[in-house]
Amino acid sequence: MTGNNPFARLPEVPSFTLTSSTVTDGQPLPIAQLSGAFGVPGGQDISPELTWTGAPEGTKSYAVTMYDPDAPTGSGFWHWAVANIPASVTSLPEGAGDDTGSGIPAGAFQLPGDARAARFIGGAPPAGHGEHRYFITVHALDIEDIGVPADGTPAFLGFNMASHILGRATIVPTAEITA
Amino acid sequence: MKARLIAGAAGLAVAAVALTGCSADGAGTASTSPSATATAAASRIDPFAGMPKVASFELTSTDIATGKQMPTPQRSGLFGIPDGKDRSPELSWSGAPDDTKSFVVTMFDGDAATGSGFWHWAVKDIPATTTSLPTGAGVPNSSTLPAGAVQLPGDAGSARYIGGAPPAGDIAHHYYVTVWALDTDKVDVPDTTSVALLSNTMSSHVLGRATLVPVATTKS
Repeated sequence: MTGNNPFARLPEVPSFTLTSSTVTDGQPLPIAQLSGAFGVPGGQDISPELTWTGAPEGTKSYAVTMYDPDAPTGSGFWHWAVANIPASVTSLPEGAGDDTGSGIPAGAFQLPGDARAARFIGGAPPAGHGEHRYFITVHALDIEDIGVPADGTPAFLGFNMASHILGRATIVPTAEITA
Repeated sequence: MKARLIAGAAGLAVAAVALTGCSADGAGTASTSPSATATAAASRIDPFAGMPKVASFELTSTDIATGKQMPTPQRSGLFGIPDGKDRSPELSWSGAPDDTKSFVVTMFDGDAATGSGFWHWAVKDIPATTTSLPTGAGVPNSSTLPAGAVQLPGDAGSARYIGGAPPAGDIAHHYYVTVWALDTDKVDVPDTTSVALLSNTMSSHVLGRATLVPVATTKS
């Protein structure tokens, strides 16, 4: 657990409960959550199931992101970003983040991540680059519409969210591919 | 494209205004003196943490300097900085490794409150014979970039230089202006790819890099 902290420049806010039947904090991502699109054998780019409870009062929407701060890019790597999830939603089914966003709730949408695809891209650490961390985060926001265009970058989403975050819940699975 | 950028810039400007009103939650509480010596470790995100350790070479500019305030023309009018011109800085370099076959030039804000910093500029496939870029080379469809060079869209979504635009009252932001010397003629990524994917693709081809780190603050 070394390297950059993706929350270093963001407000410190209360946490709430985030669980998953697919991924576990501190444990390797299952193979299905690795990236076949990026050449990991067996990877299926299937987004994990997520369930959350206890978000702060006043939450008007959620955003869900997955970010690898350990990618050799200078800026980590955004694997997934879902904006404008209504406050009434408290879970996403496994595979919600496919090409069509089949499990994304009405009103919400997927932004293109650093692979420039508006869908979940699984973990794909370069072989021999050590263990990468995948921050899967549910951001509780005080605004219904976070105000990013459909093709905005996750960095843009992050910037807009910075002044609207009421709470944050994170699970950090890992992945490593040996050389 | 232009309309989209302007719309995006307006959105960011609104968010920037909102940010200045919430310094109590940490956005404006840390202080980094703009006159403090800037180093590669000075920003909240170290942009070189996951990148190969390579030789440095000489990089100079008639517009910007490490640890000095970024001049107003190099700041972003598009993102609401008064008198900002979004004009890329002059850059001259020498002493790159002998086997260099192309250069990439990037600018990254390691202090942007986004979770991943903010890419302001990226130019790939600059021929190895090139050792300087003039001021303003980063305009859209630039005629002063060398033949073959390609600008990629940064985090604002536009394939051009976007100037520094720290939110008013925020800490000093560090802008890493980097020339990357590569062992390959071209970085084989689409012209619309993200800068992160450009970096990921070129990371195994870096022979050397040279960096200047100007800083910027915006008074509240």
